[in-house]
Amino acid sequence: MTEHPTSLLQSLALGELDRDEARAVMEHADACDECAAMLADAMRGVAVLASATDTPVTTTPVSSTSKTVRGRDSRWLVGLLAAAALLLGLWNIQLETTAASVPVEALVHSHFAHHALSGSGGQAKLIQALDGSWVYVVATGLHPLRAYDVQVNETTIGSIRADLTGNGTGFWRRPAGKITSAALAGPDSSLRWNGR
Amino acid sequence: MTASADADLIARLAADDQSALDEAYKSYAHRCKAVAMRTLYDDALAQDAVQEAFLSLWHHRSGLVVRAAGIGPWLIVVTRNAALNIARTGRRRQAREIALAPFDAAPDPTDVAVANVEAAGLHDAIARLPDEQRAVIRLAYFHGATLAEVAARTGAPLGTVKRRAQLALARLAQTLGGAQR
Repeated sequence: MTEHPTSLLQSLALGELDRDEARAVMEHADACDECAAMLADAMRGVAVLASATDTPVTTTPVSSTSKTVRGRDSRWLVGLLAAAALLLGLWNIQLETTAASVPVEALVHSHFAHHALSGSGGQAKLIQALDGSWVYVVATGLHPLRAYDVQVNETTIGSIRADLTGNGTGFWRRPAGKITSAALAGPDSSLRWNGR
Repeated sequence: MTASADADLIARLAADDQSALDEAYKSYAHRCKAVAMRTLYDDALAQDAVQEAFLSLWHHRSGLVVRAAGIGPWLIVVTRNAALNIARTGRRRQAREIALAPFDAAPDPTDVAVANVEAAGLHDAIARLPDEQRAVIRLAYFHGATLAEVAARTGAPLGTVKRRAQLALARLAQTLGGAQR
């Protein structure tokens, strides 16, 4: 490519060139100060857009955890602790509804009840305080980066967004009271628990 | 990664230091994977796109563009391009299946992306773009239209659309790019 491919630089940055076209434009720009500068500007602009649109959003950090968790269903407790560990490491994150952190009591088995949500499109568990004053949702097998509504007693209390591996968690405080049903609803999932 | 660390990596890459590629991978692979996942929604395919981008980084390690753009933006764009090419290839291969598949009830990725942009504070920066530049970014980046399609839809000459894209991306890079490198 001997002429300046000026008109193709934006197309390259925006991803509309095929591999061969992109390679030819890039090889020219790699040896041309003028085109390199223009392409770099366009690349930084696209990177700025990508930085916003591709950032996974999950939930708020937890301040401490417990080593004394024991329970009937250790698989879910392992998941819970893994989620808590994840939360400990992710400080630049946000909860979509309630900015409450996960309390230590949420990790102590004797203080909560847990219920599996059944249906299609993943697995989820509702973990609740015995008085219903908080709920913690742990889900896996979801579609990466998609948002799912969390419903308690037929009311949407917020949403969780699956991470890159399809896992999602959310924690909410709520008025103490009996929880009779819970559901996780997304574009490709319908998981539900009906209390007895 | 700081600008000075990035500059050090670029210098070492240009000197054929393979350990610099390893360090770049450790620093940027996760970010690149997220970019690829946004397009592909498939872990293995996204990893293919990331690998392709890092191989390409090695190939272009001594070129002017990596130095001018910075490793992060360069990798993000090349990863995204690799992912888009993988997606395009897949779409051709799966054309018959798509015709028979049930309608995907997933939310419009454009809506999701725009919502995330707003959440990340980019909304104002995009809103401050002139109308004609903002229209190009919305159609070409968020809706995935080619610049030729943008020209057809807006009625502007293709050269004008390309100029608007260049100005808009450069302005976004100037406004917000410093923190992204």
